[in-house]
Amino acid sequence: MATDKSEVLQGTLDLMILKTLQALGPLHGFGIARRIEQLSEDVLTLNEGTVYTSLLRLQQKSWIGSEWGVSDNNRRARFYSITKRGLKQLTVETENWERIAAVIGRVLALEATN
Amino acid sequence: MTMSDYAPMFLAKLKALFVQRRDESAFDEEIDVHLEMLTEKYERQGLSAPEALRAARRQFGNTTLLKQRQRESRTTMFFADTWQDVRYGTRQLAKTPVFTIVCVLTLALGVGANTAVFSVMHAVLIKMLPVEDASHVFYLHTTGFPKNISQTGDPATSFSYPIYRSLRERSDLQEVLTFIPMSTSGKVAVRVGVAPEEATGDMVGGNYFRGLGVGTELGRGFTQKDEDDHAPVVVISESFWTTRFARSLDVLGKTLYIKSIPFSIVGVAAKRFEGTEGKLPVDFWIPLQSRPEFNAWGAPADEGIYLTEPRLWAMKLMVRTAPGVSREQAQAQAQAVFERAAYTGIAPKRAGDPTYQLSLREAKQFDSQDGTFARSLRILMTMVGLVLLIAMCNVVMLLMARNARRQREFSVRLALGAGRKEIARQLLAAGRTCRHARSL
Repeated sequence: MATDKSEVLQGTLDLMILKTLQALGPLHGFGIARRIEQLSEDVLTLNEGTVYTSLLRLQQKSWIGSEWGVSDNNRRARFYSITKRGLKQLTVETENWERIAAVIGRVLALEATN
Repeated sequence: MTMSDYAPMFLAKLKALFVQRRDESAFDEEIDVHLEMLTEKYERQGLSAPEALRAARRQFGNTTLLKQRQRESRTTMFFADTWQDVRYGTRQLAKTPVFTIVCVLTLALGVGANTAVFSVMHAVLIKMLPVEDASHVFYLHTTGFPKNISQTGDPATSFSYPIYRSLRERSDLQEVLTFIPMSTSGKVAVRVGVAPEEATGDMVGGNYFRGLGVGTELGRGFTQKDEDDHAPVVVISESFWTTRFARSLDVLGKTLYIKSIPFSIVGVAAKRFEGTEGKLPVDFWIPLQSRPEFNAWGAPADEGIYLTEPRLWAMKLMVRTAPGVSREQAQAQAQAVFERAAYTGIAPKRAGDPTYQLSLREAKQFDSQDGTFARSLRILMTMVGLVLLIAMCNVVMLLMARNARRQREFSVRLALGAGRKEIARQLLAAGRTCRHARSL
């Protein structure tokens, strides 16, 4: 089902957003979308709306906080920033990701040699 | 998600329930700003305004769906769903008013009867007197009394003045308390201003309030001196104070005429304390009186006054046992004193006369004379319990009959894609609504 796919994507998106906020400090949703777009170099096509779903989820888990501020072009915008809990979670998730990536890498390498 | 993440998640959702509307408009604004910025970005890249807007919308995705998802995940959908089911159930019930009324009334009857009987049962069998440390307070009962004495018609709880004095002076009981109804009905003529009325009163020992540990709302309780002097003072109950004196603070010192004799009000008893008579809430208390018109139980004085006539057994007694003394120990001590005092001033015990046994009964709201009242109450409780059961069976059968008739409707709804779970949930909600209507 379609939800299975998006589930994976959501998980990764959460991690990307956390990392972005950790690296760049407070950002609004538009900024986050731009940053991810920039980094993914058009490999990932992102429905920018899903960023907000992810942001809400992260906020409900208290991994990020938000407050209203003014954007560069003088618009009222909500700025998200990572919390202490979020930083802790980021470490955990990063390790997790690396472990999984390593495993997958090994599995794929195995196939190639056979 | 780890365990520790559930708590903030749940709190966030709970909070969202209350700030939902504000959240939604804020979110709309957030999306609008994002779209505007995205549009501007495309315009800078050289697209025309309408093209840029279209591109931005495409890039952003379905906003309506997003808002809906946002709402769903923000609050727990559970609440919204439940509310929907309740509304649905209400509509269903409103469509069949006769059915609904029958159900509601049947259940109301069953539950109402149960509630009523249970409150009585609670008051009679379970509730303790509102006194300090009620577990050390007991009603005193006897199995009998010597021949040739007259008593109140309530043989188990009647004692003579010599017994009262002896128990107070010679036993190790911490307190021996006496209370005597003013008449056989408990009521006497009183008058606050000019209008005469009836009120329930008890004559009590000087240690009554102190011994029970019942405080006062206003003024003071009695002292030993009040008892010794048979002082013309009165303590009124909190409810009497409320109904007759409108809780006036200058009630102290006012005069209450009891049987036309003026008594000065010295105190208002603590709220909820309505005496130790059980069935009858007591309106006022006076110290033991020596006037002939204040003989115990309003008895005529020509057969003697309770204070001086040892053959008149008319005083009800309660005791408070000392801390650390068990009920059995206290009972044994009191028994020894009682056996001697019972024959003070009357013909001595003859060989072959039975020994009368004292017993201590728990200080329940109602002094349990014997088990019959309690037993009949239990039978009543069982009966109304059965009534409730029958009522529920009725309603269940009605519901089943109705649902059987709705078989077709369910088939259609299942065919249209309703889950079995949803249908069951809606039926439950309808039942719940029915029950709540009843409790209103």
